[in-house]
Amino acid sequence: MNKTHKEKTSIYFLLIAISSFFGLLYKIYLIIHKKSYIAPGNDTSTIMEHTQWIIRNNDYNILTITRPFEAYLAAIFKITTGVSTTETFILNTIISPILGFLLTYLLSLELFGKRNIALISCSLFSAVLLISQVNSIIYFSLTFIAFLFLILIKYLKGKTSFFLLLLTFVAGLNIYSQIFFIYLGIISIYMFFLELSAIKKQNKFLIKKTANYFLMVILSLITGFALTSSVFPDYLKGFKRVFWFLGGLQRSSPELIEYMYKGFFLFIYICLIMFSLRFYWDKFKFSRKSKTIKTLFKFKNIFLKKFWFKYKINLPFAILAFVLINVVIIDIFLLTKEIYFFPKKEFEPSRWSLTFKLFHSYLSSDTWRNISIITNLLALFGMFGVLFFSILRTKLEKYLILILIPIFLLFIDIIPQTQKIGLSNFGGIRGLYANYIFIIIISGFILYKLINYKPLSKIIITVLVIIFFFNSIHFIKKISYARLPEASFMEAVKWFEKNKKNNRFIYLNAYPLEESIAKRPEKLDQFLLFENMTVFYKYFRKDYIYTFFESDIPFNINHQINQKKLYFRDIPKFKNMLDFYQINYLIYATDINTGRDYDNMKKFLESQVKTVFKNEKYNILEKL
Amino acid sequence: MTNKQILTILGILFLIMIIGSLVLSTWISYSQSLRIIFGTVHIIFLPGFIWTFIFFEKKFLNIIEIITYSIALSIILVPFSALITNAAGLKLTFENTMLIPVGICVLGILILLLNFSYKKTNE
Repeated sequence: MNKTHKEKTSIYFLLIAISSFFGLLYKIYLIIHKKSYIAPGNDTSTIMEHTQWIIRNNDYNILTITRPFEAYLAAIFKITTGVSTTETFILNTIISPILGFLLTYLLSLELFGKRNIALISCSLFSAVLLISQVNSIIYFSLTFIAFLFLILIKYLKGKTSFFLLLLTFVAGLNIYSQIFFIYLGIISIYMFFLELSAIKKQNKFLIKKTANYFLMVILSLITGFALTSSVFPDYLKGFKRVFWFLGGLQRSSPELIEYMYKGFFLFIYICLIMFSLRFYWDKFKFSRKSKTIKTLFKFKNIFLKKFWFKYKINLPFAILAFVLINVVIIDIFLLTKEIYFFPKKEFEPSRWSLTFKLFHSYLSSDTWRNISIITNLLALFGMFGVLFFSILRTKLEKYLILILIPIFLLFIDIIPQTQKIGLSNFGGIRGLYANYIFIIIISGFILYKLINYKPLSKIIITVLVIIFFFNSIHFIKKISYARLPEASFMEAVKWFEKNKKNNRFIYLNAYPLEESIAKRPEKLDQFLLFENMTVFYKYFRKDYIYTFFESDIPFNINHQINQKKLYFRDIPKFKNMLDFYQINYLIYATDINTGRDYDNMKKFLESQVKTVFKNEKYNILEKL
Repeated sequence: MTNKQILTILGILFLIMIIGSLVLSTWISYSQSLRIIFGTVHIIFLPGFIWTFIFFEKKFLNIIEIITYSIALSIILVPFSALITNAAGLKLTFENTMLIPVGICVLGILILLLNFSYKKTNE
């Protein structure tokens, strides 16, 4: 590629990046004006509950502050700016995309050292955000992971201080401990090999950096525990929470992942102690003649001989490879589990991707599953290729482009099942988002290479454009959908807003649990279209979901509801709850028609409430 | 990045804040819009902005890095300080939440000044 062409490409990518940034701003505008989605997720109400608790600052009953940093930030923001708790969403909604965009650029630049790759990566980040729902809270936490990596790389290059590294890791631990621990594991394994390599080369700078890293891990765990224990009245629970690194993985496949990660961490902690001790022994000039030290050094030499890397490892490639290998290994585990343990289980049809909906008519679930497996295997080989044969990287690059393409496909959402079975298994959708930035950066690199390999680019870019095109239609569909929510519900809530005597009501939904989960985001998004209205608690029972709405009110109420174990079947209890919380209105979906509970409820409703509004699907009932 | 450039960034930021407040005041009262805009910058930009120059060498920073680190570091430093002060018994009132970022900024400025005088002495 000649110089003129290079310059042109650079301007071209710069323009794309700038326009994609404006695209992001437009998305934020849509969200703020409630014309596009904010997916609240289960965490939102939890964070808001914690925020409110912090503001009140006189109640120490809540034992599960999982993310104190976010709750504190939201609380300070609310107090300082005077906005409602509902609007603290906006803080995260604005910060996450902008910070994510900038971090993707910087991380990519730091990893590959090429501005064009960085520009492509941040443009892709915008594209992903534009086609996906913005989950205000989750995105906020996970964007932070990129910052953590950026600081780590800066530290390894000697561009920043140990204190900042420690501070960032402590923050990571308190922002999202489950995801943080996974990354801690991945990074620690990498650092372990890096230290081995540094010892072999007698690179004192790197030995110091890596040994300091392990010291930092210990310090960040202690600090993290000290911080969280200050908000945990029960120290034992706090301790468990801090070290409960598998917490976020429980939902998907507990046993398999649990054992895997326990092994993972055991390995890390042994390495950690070994290497920290070794370095500091050296540093403080402990006697090298002692028997223990001699044995340790002997062990070190044996270890180095056995597990020595023959190939030179490129730092940025290896970090990315470690992240992705880990992801793909889990993916393979989960795929295996899906296939062998639940062979007949149907994949949940994706509600996110139009591409899936279009192709699903032509392909069976099994075909999709096979595509997922093949894709993941290819990605796995690609990643291993990058890591272990990095010495041959220049020769392999040409082929790696083809091997790594599936990763691009993963993030672009062409294989929606991966959300269900693969990448999303770090604890729901969080895992998918957590890896977005890294997959995006890899994809940026791939696209950059594609442009250099002209013969390939035409075909592959055409394919990618088609994928983008279909997903863009989906995006447009989402916006138009958000503008036109379910008319009958809108009508009911508008009546309520106009005529309400107080701001408390309960929405009773009657879908069976599984179905409700699938429908919930759409429904809740519609609710969030209304000013000053907060979803503050979703109480899951076996058959029913209670969704409580209220404007800016103390959140201790929902906690107490939880404590009292309210049962839908227990009508007197339900009635008492309404009295206790002074809830006079119920928005009642008329399609509640399942089982005997319906009869109980019907009797209760007939005797205790009157209908004040009615349309095709919803009744608004006022307590007599 | 020179001192002049840093001052320019701050100037532009201030201008954006004023314009933002004016735009926002078409929907809400002017005092409320000022509170939101200045409060937001006070929490999620300024503390990190000062500490960026402590953690990174000024000459190696560009504008994108300064903005990114400022936001990210503020997100770390402000809740971190709030958590510690709150655990120590300080209640999160309006005055206190205003003072926490101010405290972080003052501490940062002191460290920067100390660094500066240390470098001067060494020279």
